[in-house]
Amino acid sequence: MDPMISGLVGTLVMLALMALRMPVAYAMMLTGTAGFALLISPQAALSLLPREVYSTFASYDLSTIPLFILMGQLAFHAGVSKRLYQTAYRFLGHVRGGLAMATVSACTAFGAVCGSSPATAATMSSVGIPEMKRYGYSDALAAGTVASGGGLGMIMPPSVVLIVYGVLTEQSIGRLFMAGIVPALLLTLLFIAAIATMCTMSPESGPRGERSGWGERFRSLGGLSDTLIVFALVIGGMFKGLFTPTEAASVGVAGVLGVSVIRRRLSWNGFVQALLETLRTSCMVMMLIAGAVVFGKFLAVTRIPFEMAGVVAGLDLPGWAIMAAILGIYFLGGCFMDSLALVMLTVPIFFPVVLGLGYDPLWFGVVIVLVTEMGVITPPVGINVYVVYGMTRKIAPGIALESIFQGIVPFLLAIVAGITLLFLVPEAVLWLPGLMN
Amino acid sequence: MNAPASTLSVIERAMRALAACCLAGMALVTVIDVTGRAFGYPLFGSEEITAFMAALAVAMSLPYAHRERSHIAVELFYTRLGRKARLTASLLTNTLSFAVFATLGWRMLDFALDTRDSGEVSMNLGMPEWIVMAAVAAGVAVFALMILTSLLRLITGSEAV
Repeated sequence: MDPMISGLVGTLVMLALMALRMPVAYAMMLTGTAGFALLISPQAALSLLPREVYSTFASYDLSTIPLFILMGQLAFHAGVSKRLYQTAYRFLGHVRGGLAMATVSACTAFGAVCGSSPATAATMSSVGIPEMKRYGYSDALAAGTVASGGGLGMIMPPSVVLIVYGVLTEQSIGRLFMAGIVPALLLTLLFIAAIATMCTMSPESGPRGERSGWGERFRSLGGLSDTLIVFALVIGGMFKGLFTPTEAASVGVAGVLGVSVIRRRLSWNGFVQALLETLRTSCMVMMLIAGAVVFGKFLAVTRIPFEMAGVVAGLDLPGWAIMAAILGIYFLGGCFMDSLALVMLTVPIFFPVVLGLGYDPLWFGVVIVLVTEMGVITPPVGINVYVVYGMTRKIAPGIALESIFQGIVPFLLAIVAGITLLFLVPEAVLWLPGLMN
Repeated sequence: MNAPASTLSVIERAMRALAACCLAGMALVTVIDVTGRAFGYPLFGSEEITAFMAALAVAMSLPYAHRERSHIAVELFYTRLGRKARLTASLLTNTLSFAVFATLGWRMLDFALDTRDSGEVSMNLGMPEWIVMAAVAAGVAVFALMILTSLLRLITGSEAV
């Protein structure tokens, strides 16, 4: 069979299996192996499969993923998210929509120790939503803020999606992390602006809270000093080139654990739960990577990525239009699929195209994380919305799914504004990594 | 059906505990290396040990992650199907999943034995890496057996779709 046609058939079979609820990782591994067997030889496929899976599992570069996930889990079980929220509240609580702004800020700050978007959304739901409901915030604003703010955890380093992107495209993970910082802060500001606009248009959706004195504000900062030190150590160590990402993550784990134990904030049960949750998530991520690697080998044999890059490069369209089309595909894909799975499926296809157009690989990594972040809050799949909905059923029953989807609209506009800004000013992404050694 | 299933469950828990130890071990070994390096005594081969422990942590948590349904799947279309169609789809995808992971387990063991026979050892510490590969094969095998158990439950109707 013609390699291109078998590639297309293989991709369609894989998508069909996914639609029948076969886990994405399994479907990629199956079609990748079967396709490779068909195009090269069954023997070659049977020898490729264990080698690729083993080298993914035993990769030192990828070992940073479970460690960063563990750092976030330990921070969560030690109540870091709650303290971050309280501090942000002291500073912003008295303005209209201030609790929502505090939630968004706390999401970014928690994202600095946690690399996953649904985990950040789930964590901040339990912290932020009860408070916002207590002050009479509308359901749409309260839940929409948490669902969208969770996405900030994905772009603020450490970020699991950026690590995976870095490994797939052979980019430095440290530089990708640095590239994510300014866009994450920019997006936080845009989210705060969106909340302010919403509360100006309908003041009853986000009433003012109590004003805290400056003394209280600075005291609350004291509770955060340890988190700040750990973050500075982890990110600063990578920035200065002192640590590899795996070392930085291990130092982060030790730092969070040490501080939590000394301050008696982490129980034995919390520690065990953090380990188990980390194992489940890491296993899921690593299987996805292994599946994507095997599928990628098949795709490379079909030559589809290279042919496609050639076709796109030959189009009589400006680069930005092609790029916008690619981002449109990411957005649509993100509506149906988890961001990590989507990045793994599509990066091998689009990366050569993007490089051919002359875009910077770091910039593209950050932008697709932003685009898939829109996907995690848009229907029909919008994983963060479901996570928040699931959490509210326990903590604030009565919030309808529709009002959460309604609440994310202003944040979607803010993300679109953010992406446009990054298009116009790519230096916002490239400036910090450019300062590295 | 029950006795094998409960044996599998015991094995799954043991593997989970081992995976948790490896996860904590990865952080510990790396921190010892970083601290030692600051004082001029780096831990030789720490990267290799970390990578091996990462492989074990992931492979040993495969059965656990399957039990907890941690793997990402697209629910959107499946949930719109009728009961019969869902059962057919689940039978198909579980059979295919079992096939792919049974094959992976078998090939991984073969890969481990080939590596042992060729006398290949790890680059820095000269450790027999085939043992790690064989342990990964064991994790994959238990994982495949758990998929088989789910499949049998679907066939006997003891697992709802």
